[in-house]
Amino acid sequence: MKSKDFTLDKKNKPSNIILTIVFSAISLIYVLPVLVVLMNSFKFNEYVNSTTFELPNAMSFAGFNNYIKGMTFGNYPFFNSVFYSFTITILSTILILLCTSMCAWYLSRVDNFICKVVYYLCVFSMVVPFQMVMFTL
Amino acid sequence: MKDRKRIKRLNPLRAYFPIFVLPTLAAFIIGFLYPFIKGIYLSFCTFRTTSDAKWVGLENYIKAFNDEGFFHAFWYTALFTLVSVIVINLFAFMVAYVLTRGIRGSNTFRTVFFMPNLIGGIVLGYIWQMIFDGILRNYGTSIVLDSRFGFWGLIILMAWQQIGYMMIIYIAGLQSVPEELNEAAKIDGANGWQVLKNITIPTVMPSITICTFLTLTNSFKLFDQNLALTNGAPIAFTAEGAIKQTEMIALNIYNTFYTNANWRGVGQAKAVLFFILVAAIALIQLRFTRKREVQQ
Repeated sequence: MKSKDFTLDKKNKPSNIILTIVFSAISLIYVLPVLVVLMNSFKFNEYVNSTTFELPNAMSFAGFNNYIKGMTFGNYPFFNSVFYSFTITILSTILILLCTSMCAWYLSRVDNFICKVVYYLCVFSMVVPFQMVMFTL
Repeated sequence: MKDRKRIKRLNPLRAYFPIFVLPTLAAFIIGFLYPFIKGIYLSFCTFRTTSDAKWVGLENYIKAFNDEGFFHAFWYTALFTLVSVIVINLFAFMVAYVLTRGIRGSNTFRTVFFMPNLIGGIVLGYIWQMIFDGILRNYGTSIVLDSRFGFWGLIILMAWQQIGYMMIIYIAGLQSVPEELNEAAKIDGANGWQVLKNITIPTVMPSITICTFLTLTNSFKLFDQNLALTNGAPIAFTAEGAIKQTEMIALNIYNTFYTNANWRGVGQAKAVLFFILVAAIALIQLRFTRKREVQQ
């Protein structure tokens, strides 16, 4: 790459400073939806629908009520779901890493008919839409 | 022939096939190959559960072709795919192009643009539904009342989600453009546009191939966002029945399965047609863009 002082010089070119400003504005718009969600998470339910883009005021401010309700809602507590997600993620990642790396190593080393078939089947499975196997699975 | 046989016998790795490949292959067959083949078989049957299938031949396909909602979903999906592929790739390339020029704060911008990817499809749909409805309420309407709002809403949603991911691929491609080529072109007196057209785009063609492939198949197979944002509303009533105006193919197949138990065979037939369609489009697209790639 280039030497450091050269890149520094490039950074201070007027056109690049304008670009930085433009992109800061775009980035701000880009994160706005997330901020709106965060803001609305502190409002009572009816105010989310009526005043979506206003900051919570004394009337609509719900404090952490929504969060407490979210954690304890229904007959299946939130943290249980989190625990399940974690278990499935960790176990499946370990299994996937182990099995697929072994398989990939073998497929790249051995070049016979079966290996080619397995390889192309794997590639093929990426295009198949989920609806195709949804019901039979 | 004789030589190949001898090499095979000599290859000591052959004995390890069961250990190395079999676990993955077994999982693959259980999780994909068996359901896939059974799915093709079931598309010729009438069934409620997979075990009571009764062979009916091509009847399901005829029903699928006569289903107006399916055709509407197909054209809607095609239009959506066309617009979203163009919008996503154009903006992703532009953003990547600017962010590889070494402007201040590039890394922060990359993070910001990539962030929407970390949110799941269903959640995204609900977030944007809330925002669109928040805006449209001021005009006395809602996203589920007009199919145009549903269409452009989905485009905005998908662009917001996918631009960051495609941008990362384009940045990787742009960084591999050799600096010598750019300098040589500048010495020859090429302006910025000529450099972009004759050097940058041909060298990042592999990235363009991957990105168009990903956006194309993603848009065609789109389901979560469609379900969460509008779920097919508004519904138009015709002589044939109700047609959901913003329903895409994947959602149409899902609804065929789970709203009418007698139409499961038809749903499966639609799924087979859908698969053939996606595979054909993906193949054509790969052929088309591979031809334009240059060797370095």
